[in-house]
Amino acid sequence: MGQEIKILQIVSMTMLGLLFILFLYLIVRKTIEIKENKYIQQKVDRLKMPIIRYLQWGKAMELESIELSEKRLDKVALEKILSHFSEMIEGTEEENRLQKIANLYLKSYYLKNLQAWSWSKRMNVLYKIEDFHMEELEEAVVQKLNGSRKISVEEKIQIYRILSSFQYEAIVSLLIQDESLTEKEYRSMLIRLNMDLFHSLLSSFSECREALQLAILDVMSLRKKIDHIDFLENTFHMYSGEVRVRALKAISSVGFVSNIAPYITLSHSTVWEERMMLAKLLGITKNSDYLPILRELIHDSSWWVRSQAAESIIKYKQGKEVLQDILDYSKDVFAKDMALEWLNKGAIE
Amino acid sequence: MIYEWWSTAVQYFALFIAIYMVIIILFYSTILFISMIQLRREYRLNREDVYDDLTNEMYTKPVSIIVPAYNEEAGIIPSVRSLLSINYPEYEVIVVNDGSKDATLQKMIEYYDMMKVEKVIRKQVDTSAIKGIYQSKVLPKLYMVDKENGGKADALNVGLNFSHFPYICSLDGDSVLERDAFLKVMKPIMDSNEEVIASGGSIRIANGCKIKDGQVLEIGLSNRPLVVMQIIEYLRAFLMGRIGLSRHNLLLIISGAFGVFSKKWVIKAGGYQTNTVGEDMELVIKIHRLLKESKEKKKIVYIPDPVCWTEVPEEMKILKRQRRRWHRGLFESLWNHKQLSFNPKYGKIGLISFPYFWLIEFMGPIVELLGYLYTIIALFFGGIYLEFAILIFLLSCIYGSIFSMAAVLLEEWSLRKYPKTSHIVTLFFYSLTETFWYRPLTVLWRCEGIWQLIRGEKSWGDMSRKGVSE
Repeated sequence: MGQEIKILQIVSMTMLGLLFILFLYLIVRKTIEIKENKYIQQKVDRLKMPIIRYLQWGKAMELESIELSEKRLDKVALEKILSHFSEMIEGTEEENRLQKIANLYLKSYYLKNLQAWSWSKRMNVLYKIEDFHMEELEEAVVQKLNGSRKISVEEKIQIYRILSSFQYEAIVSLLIQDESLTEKEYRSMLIRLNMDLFHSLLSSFSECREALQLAILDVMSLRKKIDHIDFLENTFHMYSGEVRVRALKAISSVGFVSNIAPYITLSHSTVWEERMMLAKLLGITKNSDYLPILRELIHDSSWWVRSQAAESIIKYKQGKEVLQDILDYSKDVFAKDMALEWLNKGAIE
Repeated sequence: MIYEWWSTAVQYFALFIAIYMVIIILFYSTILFISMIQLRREYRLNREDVYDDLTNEMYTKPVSIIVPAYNEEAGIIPSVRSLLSINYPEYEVIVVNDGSKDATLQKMIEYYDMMKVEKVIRKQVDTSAIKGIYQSKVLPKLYMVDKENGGKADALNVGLNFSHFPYICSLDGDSVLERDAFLKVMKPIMDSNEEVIASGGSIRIANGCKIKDGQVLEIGLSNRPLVVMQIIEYLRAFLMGRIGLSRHNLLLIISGAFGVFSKKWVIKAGGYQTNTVGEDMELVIKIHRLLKESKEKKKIVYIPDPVCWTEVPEEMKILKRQRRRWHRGLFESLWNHKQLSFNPKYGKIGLISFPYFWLIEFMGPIVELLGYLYTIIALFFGGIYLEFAILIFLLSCIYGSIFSMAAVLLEEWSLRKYPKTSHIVTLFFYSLTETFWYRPLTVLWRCEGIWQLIRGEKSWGDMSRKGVSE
């Protein structure tokens, strides 16, 4: 028994000892960090004005007056200022100047950190490379992708994003070849591409994985560009399932169809999303020949379809009267509720 | 002869307590280890950058925030204001006035310029009657539903029926969210492509922080020992316990104070259960059951970083009531789903989570109390008994103080919400004292909860609030 107690005493004393050592370490670290942050803040305060002046008016003199040593803290201070401005500035000239400062003072620091042992350090650099648009580091980033050292998924995704916003030629084939990205990840890359690269992707649409196809369609829905309409209509007619629904969604978001007639049959579709999209398209067309279909759709079994139908009806010139009519004469309680809600909607919004 | 028999029995009893504690300690050590790895990975990532991408994405999932309010006139205005200023692309705030007897309704109507509107409510879960729906004229995404009193769960269900968006978040009327909390808590849901169907954030203690207009201005520590101990306790529960459990999809609790759920699943589970105190735990267990029964591979996760600041009791008397109530709530939820316990059909939930909650969370206080009693009595008898007493005492030091100290260090190692060195020093030394006063107190209160259960008491007791905002 005495033996066990001794062992336990030793165990708890060791644990306590370890905790105290860890405690001291963390306390020292925190104290140092508070001091460092103070230094960084002072540096930021001192550098801010010259940098603003340079960014705004491009006075190179100002740039020379910047006192920046090779110390890590100085780099951090500069990074802080640039991050702050990179969110705010507009105009290519200002952006170019920001890139210039970043390249001048941060490039070597970043090159070193790209190889850092800690994952978060590497990730932070990757984010900053994109924020400051440091195209001079493009090569280093591409190399990381093909390097011998294995990179994490998060790094790969961020690298793809960087290459997309740099409009790197080979990004399209990288995206097509990748087997593991999710729809959302694809979307975050596609949204960064310019029109040319985006179009070059469309030619191989049929060979893409479904996740990529869906992302392409969603990006079209976001961009609302009328030039995509032919592509979208073709896709809608040729594909089935989710791709078809998304194409339809994109069409209704662009808000234009060359001819509504082929879509009318959707009012009997078994997929509620398709019925809802039709209701939405009819709200855009505003051709009163189709009001009876909307009246039918406001009696739909799906809440979403009813809601969309009511929203579309109210867009018509005689919309209010139609809804009032439904409210007064319809036998369907759900349709009546919906009509009532949309008639009252005008009050707020 | 009898003496010998007695002595052996007592020794076996002590041995049982000791072994039980060793098992608990091993279990917690494992969890601590998992948490450390998990927290370390994201250490010092520039978090704004990660979420930047989400705010820019127009595809963030819209969320309906439901705030049940019963007699919350003291805190409802700043609470709602803090919600209206959160950083999230699309959301609506639904305050559900649960038949308050004070001026909650009038205050809201006046302050936010609300008017009565006609709205359709999809009745997907049964609730008590609704008296009226209001919408703010200045902030159209702010709604208030006035209903007859039916309790918190019933109010949440009304909000659930009323909500327009596919994700819902329940939030206590008297808590304050950090601005980016929603982005952070929604991130796993969006990243996982809807494999994650519920996610919860951390609850931290607002007593002692400077809060104005629903924003945390300065994080601080209260100077009341009882509050400081609760801070440590929360750190321990969230940073150590939940991260570890969440890693393996073993989570049975997502705090009612701050959690996001996929509405589809909440409705499948029949909404919030109205006749229990632990409606939050009840819901999570029910969703887990549905998942197992329908063989879907979905996850429920906890993320340490997004923080909701909330007020905790400062008085011994109220804290005691709260702990008794929690313990009874825990029992109710476990008992309602007792068929899951040790049931291999429910996988890890049945074989690890449930046994953990039964044997460690629920029964733990009884064994610990027996341990304390044994230690005290052994002091008078001395000899062989004393050795066991020392053994048990050492074990409870490890269990009580050392784990708490580790939790404080874990916080400083990873999330580092406390700005001053002195905060950490205070927390660390307070946690050293846990075994000697706070732990025995909570153990006693929880045992009282069990005693109330046995006697069949039903009253829950009120918690008086003073409002966190200045």
